[in-house]
Amino acid sequence: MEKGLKLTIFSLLLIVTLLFAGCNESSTDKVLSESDKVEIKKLFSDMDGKVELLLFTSQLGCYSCSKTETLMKEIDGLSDKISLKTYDREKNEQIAAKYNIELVPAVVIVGKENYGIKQYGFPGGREIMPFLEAIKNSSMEKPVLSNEISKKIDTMASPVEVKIFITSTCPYCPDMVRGANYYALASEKVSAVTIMSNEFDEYSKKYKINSVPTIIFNEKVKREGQMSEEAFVNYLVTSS
Amino acid sequence: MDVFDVAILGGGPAGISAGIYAARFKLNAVVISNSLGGTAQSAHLIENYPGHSAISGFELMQKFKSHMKSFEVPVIEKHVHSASKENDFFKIKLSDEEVKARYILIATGTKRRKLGVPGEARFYGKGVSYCVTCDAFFYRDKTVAVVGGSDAANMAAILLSSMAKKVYVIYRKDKLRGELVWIERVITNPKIEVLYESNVVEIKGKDFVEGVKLEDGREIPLDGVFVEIGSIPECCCASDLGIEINQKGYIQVDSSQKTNVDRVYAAGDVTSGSNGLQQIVTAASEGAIAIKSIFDDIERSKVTLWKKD
Repeated sequence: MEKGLKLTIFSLLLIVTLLFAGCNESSTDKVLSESDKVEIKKLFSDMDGKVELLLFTSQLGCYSCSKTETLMKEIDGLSDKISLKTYDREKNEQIAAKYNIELVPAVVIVGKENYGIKQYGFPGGREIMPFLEAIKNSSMEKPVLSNEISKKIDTMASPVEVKIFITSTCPYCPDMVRGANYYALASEKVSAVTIMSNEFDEYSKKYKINSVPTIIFNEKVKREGQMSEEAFVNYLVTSS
Repeated sequence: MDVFDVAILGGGPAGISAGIYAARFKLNAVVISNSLGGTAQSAHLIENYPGHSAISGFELMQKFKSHMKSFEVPVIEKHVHSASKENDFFKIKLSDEEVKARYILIATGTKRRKLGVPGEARFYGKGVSYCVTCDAFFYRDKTVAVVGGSDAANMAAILLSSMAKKVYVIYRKDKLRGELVWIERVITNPKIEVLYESNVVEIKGKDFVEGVKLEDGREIPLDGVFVEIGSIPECCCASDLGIEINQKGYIQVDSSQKTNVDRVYAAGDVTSGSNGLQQIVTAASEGAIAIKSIFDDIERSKVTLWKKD
């Protein structure tokens, strides 16, 4: 069977409590349950290389920085392949600028190289799985695109940043995030930024987001709803 | 290329249940679906699946997927383009590969029915939505309408009422239908107003939805419209293979889930089965029945071959 884009490699399922981890906004001292940690450890058990999580926070009115930091510390503790670096955005302007941090909290996932995978907002609810998978997959060998898709990607005139606006309760969003992250891993021309719309009202209004998932390619093409892999690749090419 | 015993087209409750039963019957099966979990995932609350007094559709389908995964059933997460019959097997064309199987089980479910009124397509993502669990958040303290009067519409209205300022339910008949539990919650909710015997004829606005026009001429100012008017069957490959479709557009099956075409079965919401009751519990049941029927068919064919020899 041809390998191509098989989201099945991402389909490791975690237990239910993890899916809704952190739904309680008031608690910041603990996000994951002990059973969540057991499942995540299993997921991370065959990680290959090291992965750095670069967390950007702010003291200036950040909705979920504290809880996101708690979660990142917990994730950091679940594999010796993962290391967490936390930066106050205002005190580390140069580093924030290097990674083009527009919102906080932001988590940049850096594996064997910086693949351009970034998360804005607390990756809770249904986003937790694609987020954890992105950490794991950043430690593995790059996915290999099929010949047909490689040919299309080769025609991209310039790099494309894919912004995926989601909410933590959207059932169709995780697959779109997984797909974009997959292409970010596979091609240096693609970067993927996931934005929790429910946390960033103003930013979502700026892009006139009224529905999720909404995907914006290179600030040029905006598409609402799920899309096929074929359409996704075509938009990558046309927006480059 | 391997030839599977059965290719299960669709990964909703019927397809996943079929995958589990195929593994139990030791059939060499593959599940092909570009949306594993299916439309059931978008139900925000399920209160009638035995064993779970209240569970979200997403959570329940995670459990389904996890269960199937434990049997190591191969899954190909791709769209099925077409299928053709070639002597002893079927050839199923996907986006960039082909799969061969001796039997096909169609469990492709349904897709959302659209209103088909002016403004609906134009304002999709700009105030028109088909997914309450995805987009309810965008309507905090706003005025929205749910078009429809079934369980899905009633559930959508309840969920929206927890965020929106005001929720209209716009329904063409003189009373809501579906489970009485949901109806009671809708009609007793102070934020919800049901507009009976009302049909939306146009969705209006400039850049975003600003309201709807009803058949009787009334105009209701709104920030969003959620369309919940049922679904239509996704009869994948039916015309390719000459499968009989009933008057309502569903694949005609007998009590063994068999279609009119030899070695082609169908299960779940895409079929005429279960007396038209389209539920997760009936879809899962039909998936199981279909696999048992296929297993019996394979066993019978082995006996026939042996007798011929």
